[in-house]
Amino acid sequence: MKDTDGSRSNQFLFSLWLVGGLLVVLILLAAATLVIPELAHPTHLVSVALDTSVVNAIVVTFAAGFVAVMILMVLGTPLAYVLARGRSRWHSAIETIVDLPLALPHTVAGLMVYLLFMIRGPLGVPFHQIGIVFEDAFPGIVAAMVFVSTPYYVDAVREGIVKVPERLENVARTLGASQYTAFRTITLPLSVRPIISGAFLAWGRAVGEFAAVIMIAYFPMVVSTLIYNRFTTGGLEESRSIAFIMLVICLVVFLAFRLVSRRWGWSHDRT
Amino acid sequence: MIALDDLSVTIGSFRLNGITLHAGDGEYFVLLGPSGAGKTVLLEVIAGLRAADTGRVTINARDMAGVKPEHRGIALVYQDYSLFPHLTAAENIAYGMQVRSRPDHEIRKRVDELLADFGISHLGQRYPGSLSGGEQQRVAIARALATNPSVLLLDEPFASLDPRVCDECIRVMQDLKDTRSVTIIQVSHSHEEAYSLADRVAVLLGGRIKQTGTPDEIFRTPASEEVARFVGIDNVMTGVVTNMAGCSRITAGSLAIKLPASFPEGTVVTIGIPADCIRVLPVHPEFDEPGSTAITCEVRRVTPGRDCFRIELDGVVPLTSILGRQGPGDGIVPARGTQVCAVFRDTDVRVFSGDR
Repeated sequence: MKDTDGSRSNQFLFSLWLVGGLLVVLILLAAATLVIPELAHPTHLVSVALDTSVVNAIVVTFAAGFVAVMILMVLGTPLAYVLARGRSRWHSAIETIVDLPLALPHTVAGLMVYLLFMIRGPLGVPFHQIGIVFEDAFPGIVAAMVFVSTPYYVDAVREGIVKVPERLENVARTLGASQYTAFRTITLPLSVRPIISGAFLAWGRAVGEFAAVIMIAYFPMVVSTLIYNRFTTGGLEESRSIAFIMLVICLVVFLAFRLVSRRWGWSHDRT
Repeated sequence: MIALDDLSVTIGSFRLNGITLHAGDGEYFVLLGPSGAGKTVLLEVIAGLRAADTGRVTINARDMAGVKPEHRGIALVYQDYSLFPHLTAAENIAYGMQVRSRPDHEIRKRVDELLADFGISHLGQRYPGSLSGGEQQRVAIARALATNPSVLLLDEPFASLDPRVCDECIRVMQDLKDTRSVTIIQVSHSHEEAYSLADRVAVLLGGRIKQTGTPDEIFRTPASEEVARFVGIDNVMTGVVTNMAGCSRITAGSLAIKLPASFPEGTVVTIGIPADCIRVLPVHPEFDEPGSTAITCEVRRVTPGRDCFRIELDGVVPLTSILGRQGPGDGIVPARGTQVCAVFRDTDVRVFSGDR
């Protein structure tokens, strides 16, 4: 009986693999069509990699992504906390608003960011007065990135904070901690993992953003803009080389993240 | 010293009403009630973590209205102990002193003392996830005592421990009670804990305190049928007293039961007959034993236990009898559905309430 049961479930799992594995094959195949021709022409790859406009685009992209994530951490962590601890209808309405950028086409998001931050926009005007311009400028890239990646960060951190029992904060309070101290010494350390993974998700979303970014800042070019620009003007070969460089960098960051997140921060299932 | 005055709390559709109690310095007060009676909520109200609708909490003669949890001089230990999982046992205990910015050497000394007092010095560097339930409980209580609270609130501290560990932890609490002057309010559903630890007990049923008294008062002389049933007294009946031939009796169902003392005619009294005072005998048509009452019943259910059989009987009133196991053979245990005769002596009838 045991054996038949075992083999039946193996057959079942195997058929699931057969179907689901197609997705894995698709990703690998796509990577191969990019990687193989690039590795075949290393000299061209190196010349593209050393091209100033490529280097600039990469620096701009990653710097803007970094700034966007910093802004999200400062603004998004408190928001995630109040959303995690609240239970009213009011809170779920806010959660829906936070998730709105997920549902929007990115060009729509880009247009919204543009209307808001353009020099005559409701936020563009006051920022212009203190000397910050968004149109075709670095801050514009950051603004678009923050806008589209907010739900990724806030949702991940909120989920994490929900898992930290409120009772731990209550105990901390009775032991003499203020609400803020309880948050800083108990909830925050226990949420390090979701904060890191939320930041990573948001960062990935941010550096990959294209549509929303070009609406407000075609220049300075981010990597996505540059790839599209080269694809339409210079040709397939050049855009593919930039894409390959981006693929390698993202892969390295992703692996580094996996390594760090396994070691860093307290995990709920640690015993 | 802690006093609750006419406290009311609403949680969803559930309501705690008019909770009034008073625990003196160093008193061990057990709030006894079934699970889901809102006991945890009441502790959170005392701690200031939750607002009451009405009423007042006074700790050491100070009104706690508007006083934050961190300034109340209380400590709360939850049923799951809620140890901080990212801190070691020693760091957990030190937490309260650290947030109060006590000097390091003082913290270290106090943590060592507490670890030693609770016999857990060897566990100081361990994380809560690797501690057993009993060990976690000790860490949690040591952590709560580290800041010298004037009131310690304990939420079902033994409920999640297995019985053997539980006995040991009750001993820890008894020592605690003897050696420290902290006032303890413990909520519990266990009669056993109330008996072993409490100076005084309050019974919380249906969102209200039904009776307050020493464990003996609560368990021997419950004030109402509800409390009598809750504290586990069997064969509880309520009836109106009629006096006949110089003897008080009540009528329950169609059964007249003689009372062991006299009561004025018309008084409503609640009585109980301990299950082990009810004998189960074969049916005997002319049974007549002076000073005893006999009822013919049908056996509805027999539940074997480790030391006894519990026999539920259907007659003019439902009765429960406990038959001790005597050893191999066990005398005669009646089978389900047989007709038997239940006999109890009139002197075994306990009267709980009624104006004497």
